[in-house]
Amino acid sequence: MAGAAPLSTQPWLPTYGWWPPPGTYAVRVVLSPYHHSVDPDAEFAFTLRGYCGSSTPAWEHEVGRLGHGEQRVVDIASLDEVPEPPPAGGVLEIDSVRTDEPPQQGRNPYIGMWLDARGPTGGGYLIPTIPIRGAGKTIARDDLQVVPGVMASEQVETELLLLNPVDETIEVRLVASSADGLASEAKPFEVTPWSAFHEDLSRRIPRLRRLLAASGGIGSLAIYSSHRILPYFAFRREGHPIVSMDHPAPIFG
Amino acid sequence: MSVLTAFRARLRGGSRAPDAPPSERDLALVCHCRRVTRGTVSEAIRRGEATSLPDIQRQTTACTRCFGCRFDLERMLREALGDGYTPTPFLTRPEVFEGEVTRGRTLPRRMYMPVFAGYRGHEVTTRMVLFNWADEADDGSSPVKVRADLLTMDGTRIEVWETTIEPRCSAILDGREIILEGALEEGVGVVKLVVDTLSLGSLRPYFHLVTPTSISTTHEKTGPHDLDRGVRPRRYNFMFPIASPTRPEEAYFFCTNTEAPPMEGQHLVWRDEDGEEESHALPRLELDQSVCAPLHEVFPAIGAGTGQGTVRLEPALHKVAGFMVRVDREAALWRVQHL
Repeated sequence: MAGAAPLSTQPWLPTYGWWPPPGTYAVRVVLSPYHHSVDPDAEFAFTLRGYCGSSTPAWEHEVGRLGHGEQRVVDIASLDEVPEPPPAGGVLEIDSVRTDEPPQQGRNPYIGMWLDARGPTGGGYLIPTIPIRGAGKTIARDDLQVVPGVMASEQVETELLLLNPVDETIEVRLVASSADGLASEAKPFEVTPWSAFHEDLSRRIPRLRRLLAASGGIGSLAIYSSHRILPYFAFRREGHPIVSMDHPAPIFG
Repeated sequence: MSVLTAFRARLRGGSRAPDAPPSERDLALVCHCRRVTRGTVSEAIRRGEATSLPDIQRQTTACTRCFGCRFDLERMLREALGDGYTPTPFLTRPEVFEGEVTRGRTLPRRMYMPVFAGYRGHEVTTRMVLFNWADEADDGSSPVKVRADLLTMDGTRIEVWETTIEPRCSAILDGREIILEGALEEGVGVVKLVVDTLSLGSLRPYFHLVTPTSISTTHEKTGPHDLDRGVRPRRYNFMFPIASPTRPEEAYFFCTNTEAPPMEGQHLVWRDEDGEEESHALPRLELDQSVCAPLHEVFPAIGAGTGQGTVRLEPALHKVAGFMVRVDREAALWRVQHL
């Protein structure tokens, strides 16, 4: 099996999402040209890969070539080649390449697709896949992303997901703050290469529920990292599934 | 403490008799950007100096920044001039205010997010959270000033809040407090944030859709800096991916026109994996007007949960603030995602 999508030799950057643990979410990848182009002559090639701890994919699925207007919905669970990922899940790579032309100057050199994930008791998440670099907007800082509106209380928990799709270990520092600016910081931890970190926020940040109690269990989070990382977050009400997952805000230049 | 409720204004009220002394309503602001009162605008109309929206813009400076008072001003003109009032396009380039041009930008950032409050009988409310994250590595000393307008789907502004968020603090606007009972008759509206471009760097607003069993979140969508750049072809479609649901779901396509030219002739196009297409026409939308289209009703395959594919906005022209919402009614699970 080939390695990861080659960032240095391929003009189109791959994008990433979560390869969730078994029994949690049924993930389908919606592959469609419309989010990228209106050119009726555009042609694409899609390959899906899963990683868990190594830049060598644990599995690879070649979807093939699609013309503009052709769409596919790929159910990850239906693929024979997909093994079980670790308890925190793994990294899902969506390698979308436009085959009829290279990225145009001034345009994003990646083609994001969509994940539609369903939980066994309802809920789930719908999220576009994003690259580790190559965002069209100017990013002022690679070391910080923020989440306005994290929650931690007896009734609601924030699930934090961090994806590391690079070859180096990324050190992460989480700083939560209350509405009035008081802060609590987690002990720094590492996310190993090509792996996922998934945990409840209040398990990682000391006294988080107490910190946020004065503002109804709501505050905000700063995610510092030694290399740009791909975070996602979701809220879970006691006894119910999560219903969405979103990315934090980058710091725009 | 987070400063949240520094200012709040209700915008609905009665009108006064022509010869009555200035009322509280005359002294109330109609243009919150330029701090222009209703009385000032009424006087310009009464003296014959303003018979159109551009006249009001020139004479009073009202409606030259975020354009959120446009519908109010048109209503005032219509009430005062009756059949003599002919609607005209509003000015969108504030040429007369050159002193405000900074960094090539003349307008504040305008950010939009949907607000649901009891929509179609659902037990759902909306909360907004803004975080002034500035840390020691940045110029972390600056408070961020924000104004939030609550709009109905037809663009009418019915509430205004202003607040200042200190560094490292968050502002939380809870829908149960901000939406007056009955203010959103359809149970759905829009929050339009107006933020000075120079202080936007440290701010990114997110919102929560809250039900008894779920909290779904995503961030706002921003309108273009250049409000009247003209509608021009986009390189891609705004689209809503559809995979077959495992439980019955409602699906809604929510969008707001963020550009000055009216959004007209737009269709939602459902295309399944087999290439079969169906189309649904959207209503004409002026700047700040919104639509929430029930996809499960207009496209039977989506309602039946039998199709997989995408719904896209055609033709690819306007920059909209778009969101997709899916609802598991039985479990009260709401799922929102920006386009």
